[in-house]
Amino acid sequence: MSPFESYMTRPLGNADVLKRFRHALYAVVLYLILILALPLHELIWGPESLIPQMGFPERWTNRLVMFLHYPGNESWYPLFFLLPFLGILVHWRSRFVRLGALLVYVGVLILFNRAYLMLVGGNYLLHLLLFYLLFIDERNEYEGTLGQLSRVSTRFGYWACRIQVCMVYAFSGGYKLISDQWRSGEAIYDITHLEEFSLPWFAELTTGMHGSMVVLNYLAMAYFLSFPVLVWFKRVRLPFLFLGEMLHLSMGVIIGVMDFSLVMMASYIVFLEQEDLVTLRKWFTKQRVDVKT
Amino acid sequence: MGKSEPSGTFTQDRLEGSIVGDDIDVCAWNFYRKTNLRIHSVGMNGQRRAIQPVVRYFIWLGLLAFILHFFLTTLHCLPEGSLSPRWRSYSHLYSYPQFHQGWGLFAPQPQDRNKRLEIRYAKGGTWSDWIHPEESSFPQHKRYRVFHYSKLFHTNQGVAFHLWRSLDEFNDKGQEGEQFYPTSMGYTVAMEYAGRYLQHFRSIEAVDSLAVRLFLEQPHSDEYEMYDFPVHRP
Repeated sequence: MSPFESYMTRPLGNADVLKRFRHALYAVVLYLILILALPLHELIWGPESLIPQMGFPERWTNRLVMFLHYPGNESWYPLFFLLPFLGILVHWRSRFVRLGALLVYVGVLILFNRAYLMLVGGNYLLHLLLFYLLFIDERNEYEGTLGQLSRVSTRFGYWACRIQVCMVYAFSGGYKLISDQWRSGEAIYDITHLEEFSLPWFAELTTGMHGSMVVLNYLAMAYFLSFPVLVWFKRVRLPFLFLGEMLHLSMGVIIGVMDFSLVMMASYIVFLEQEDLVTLRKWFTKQRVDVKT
Repeated sequence: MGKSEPSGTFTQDRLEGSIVGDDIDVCAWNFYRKTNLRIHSVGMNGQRRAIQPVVRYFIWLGLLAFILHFFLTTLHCLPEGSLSPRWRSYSHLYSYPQFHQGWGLFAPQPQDRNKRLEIRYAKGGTWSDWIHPEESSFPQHKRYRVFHYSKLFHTNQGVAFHLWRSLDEFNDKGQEGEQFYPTSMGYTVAMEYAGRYLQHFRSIEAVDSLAVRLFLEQPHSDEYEMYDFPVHRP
């Protein structure tokens, strides 16, 4: 067995991290469906939807992924609404983790591709991460050859999630580098002063703080560009990810795209190692004790 | 066995249960990791453990698929014009629709103007006043931005954005508006949206004609541009 084969067939050391990562993604799915979409379900997916159906080239992938775009299929949307819940139930109550992941993925993908006018970048990332979750079974309950195959699949899924998030940062950072608005330092000021993305008190507060917004612009760029590198260094990983969580949380509240922020925040979990969880647990326990005393 | 005496019988389940936040657990974790390396690369009798051919094929084919997936995804994410049409078609063929990721969505070139869509309809020979579909969803979006109101507002803004793109395309092409717009995505989406909006929010059905116009406004300024679009007869 070569070292690579040995590595691939070995159980993941940070299965607990993957469990939390999956739970976080499923929590985002529940937020998207129950909080953001359920009150508008007729307007988004109903036969008289506000979002017009689109036509696609005849391919089986389109037939499947864009199922709700095809005339006559509109009335099927409650099924896809239920699939993610069924998937979460399967994950929770049975050992068929991948089957649960498949139901969640298919439901979310078909449902939200129909709602293309309300999607943000985070939705696309969520679809990809849910796809990679199909390969992951962090419970590692199988024995023998099946167990080895399962562990190999889990490794691939795990690394795909990590590489995917790094790709997001590398590309969005790279695109920012070739953008005039980002290079001149105006981007964040411009975004936060648009009606669509502004929070009134924040826009008022920052109107006279142009210089600070320029600094924030360059800091955001630096964060995006350095993410794919710094996230691998054990010493800086936790504070660096914590900074990112704060960045995305504030973006969610200020810019008003909470779904995007939640997906990004959830995706950070996949970079944690088991010892990071121990450190975090220790830190939170200490804070609780401090608060009590 | 106490926690302070980790032994070779540690399992993944026990490890998960053992993380309670003290130093002993960090030791246990380090121990597990080292033991784990040994157990899975070497058999019980010290021989290197063999794997089934099917596992080996799975590993190497999986690696090939993994590399190919991220190679094509990387090509798909590169800026327009940086690839030959042939490679662009390969990457698009692979990525659309299930692996699509337009990282242009991560605000690479943020919009610098507010956009506002207005619609009106003709029924029985008379035109209605202009209606602003965001009239109610905009204040709600401001107040309850983590709830569904924001999605309703963003949907409105999405329609205005597509119409704005159609306008840009129209300006580049130099065709007649009546010829160009009915074939453009933004105009088609806006007209269908307008009809459905009237139906859902104003209980108005079976209109004779629909019209939309787009306002592009400078933030914190009274300056704006207004664009009218050809009338649509549903």
